Amino acid sequence: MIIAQTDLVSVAFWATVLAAGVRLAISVGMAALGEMINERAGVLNLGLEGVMLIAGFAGFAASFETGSPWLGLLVGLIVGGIVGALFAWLVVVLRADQVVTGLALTLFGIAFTAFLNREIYGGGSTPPRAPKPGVWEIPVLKDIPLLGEGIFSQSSVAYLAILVTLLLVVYLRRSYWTIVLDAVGEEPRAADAAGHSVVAVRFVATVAGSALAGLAGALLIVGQLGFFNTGITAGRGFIAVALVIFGRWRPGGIALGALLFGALDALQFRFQTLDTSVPFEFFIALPFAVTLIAVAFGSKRAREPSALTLPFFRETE
Amino acid sequence: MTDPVGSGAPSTDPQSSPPDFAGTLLHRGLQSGALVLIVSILAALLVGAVLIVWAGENPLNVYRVIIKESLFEATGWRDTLIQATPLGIIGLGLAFGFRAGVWNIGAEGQLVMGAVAAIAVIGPMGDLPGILLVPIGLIAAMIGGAVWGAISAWLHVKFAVNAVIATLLMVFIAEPLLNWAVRVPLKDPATFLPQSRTVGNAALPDMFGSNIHIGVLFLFILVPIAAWVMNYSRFGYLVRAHGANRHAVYANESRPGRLPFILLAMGGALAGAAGFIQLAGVQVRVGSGTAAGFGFTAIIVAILGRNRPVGVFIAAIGLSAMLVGAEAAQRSLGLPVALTQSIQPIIVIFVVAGEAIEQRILKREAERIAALTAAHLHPEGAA
Repeated sequence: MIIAQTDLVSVAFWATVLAAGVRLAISVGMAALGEMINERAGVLNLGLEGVMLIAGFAGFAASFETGSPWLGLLVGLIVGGIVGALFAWLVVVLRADQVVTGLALTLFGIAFTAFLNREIYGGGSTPPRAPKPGVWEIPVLKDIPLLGEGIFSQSSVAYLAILVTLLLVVYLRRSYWTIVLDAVGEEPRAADAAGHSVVAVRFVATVAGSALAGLAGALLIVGQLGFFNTGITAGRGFIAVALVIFGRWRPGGIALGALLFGALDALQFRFQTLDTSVPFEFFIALPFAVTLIAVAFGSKRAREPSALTLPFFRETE
Repeated sequence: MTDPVGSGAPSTDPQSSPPDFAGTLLHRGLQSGALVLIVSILAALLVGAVLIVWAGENPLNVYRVIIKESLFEATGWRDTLIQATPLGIIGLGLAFGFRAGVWNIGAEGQLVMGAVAAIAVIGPMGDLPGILLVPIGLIAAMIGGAVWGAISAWLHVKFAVNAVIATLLMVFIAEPLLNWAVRVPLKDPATFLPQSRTVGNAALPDMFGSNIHIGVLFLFILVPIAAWVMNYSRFGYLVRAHGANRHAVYANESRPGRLPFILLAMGGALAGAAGFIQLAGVQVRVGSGTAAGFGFTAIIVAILGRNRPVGVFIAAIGLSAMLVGAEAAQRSLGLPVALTQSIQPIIVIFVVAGEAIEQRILKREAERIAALTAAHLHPEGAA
């Protein structure tokens, strides 16, 4: 599809960009939400990219073998949780260095999924395709100009993702456990004195965060792309880590950042075919450049959880 | 001689001196870190063996091929040295950063920009003799990599962007830039492929009689220099102090951001140099093979080398041999290189887990000895 420059002023063009942007924002936003949960408990997971790939691949395999995208998502969630438990055991229980362990997890995830993909599905340039979930259109609402198509005409799994996200955000806002979570991430000694096990809370938060990242990976690969390739997440795990900083560890800010990234990502796909003098590679780099600039503007005012990356030692130990 | 009334005297015989754990083989092995490293490598190879069996091969045979092809064949040695060169050069730069707690994980992008800068500069000067072109290309590449690293450094120091994010996202900007550069301004008009012209006279010659390019010497020269700088210079002292307690360094510095800035730019310069050596010594052109993943593998090299220059050198040779052997195994047995690439981070994970467990053992032993010593000195006061 070649887009003429006159298309840039048409409502239909921006409606499709917005729709694709919302779709692309969902998975990266969900991964960022997962990262936010474990970071607020004091655990930095730089293995997010690896979790998304491993869980995404597992989800793809499940969906490909059974023909059910829903099962693929479930497998992604569970595998994300299992990998998260392993990571939590290393950094929370054994107190291994979070940065080193996280980076190793990402490098492992990239290579390991490449290996599995090659062994099981040949790893060729025309990868097998898993069935994509159907699209649910919500009547009336989807006809709202500009926004309607983006929000109310999604793949069925995307609604689940939006639902999970909304429930989680509402729960985090009102819950007693959010206070415990923040206490463990800000003042672990005080949380410990109040009778909460710092190790247990961090473990559960890390598993939950990774499970969400796993679901996000499955959502991207099963729900949107329908195929797997080496390193297919293309840095989205790290974008998610960046979005947590941009969103200052709050769901609202993270959602805003995810929509910004998603919209740029969607624009990028379309601008690649745009007939302009600007080289298309510029648009490929654009989402990463804008994310970097956005984080640069947000970082000085952002204050990370005080105990982020710091292992917890009880005084009696 | 048990105490029937339970007066609280220590149960151990107060006449015997506390056990001397500090001298045991286990203790020495733990202290040097060698034990953890060896056990970790063996454990990772065991995990690899499981995967190899799953892939339908005999692990002993595969490991035999990997070791034989990388270390016991002349071409294997050559490839191992040639691939260890970029890994080691980048790894040295990263090690200085990591030692100081400055996480540069964007070396891949810095390498790419180094290669692009080098070809952009030497392209129009193709007629000059190699003796001039090689240093010009090397310096251009180092500047290109350093500038890319400095952009990350500027974001990190000036805007407090997390160094991991600031360096990594620049990789995703460097790669499209490379693709554009070889598609439009630097494209070789003689081919249809998106690739640059060859480096021409800047191609690195082979060393005396061997078929190993002289770029390998760069690593061998750099390692002792880096070791001296890290261990004996003021800069190295600041790096180590920054890693141990950055606030102590900042208390004595008029410009606290200077050291992280220098470290990121320096890491970029070395990654750029590695990019030039790969370009002039192996690939000859800038193109799709330029971003070959050395920048990411070098992270593992630095970590497994314990951020010490000599360690980085050994790790670079070791990981390079693994990859060269794995490529041979892929050719002869059809076993994907990705398998070996996944074993490498597993070694890292085992090492960090092993070190954490080691800390626990050493601490527990220290406490036990302290308790026994206290009981020995004050038998009546023990609880």
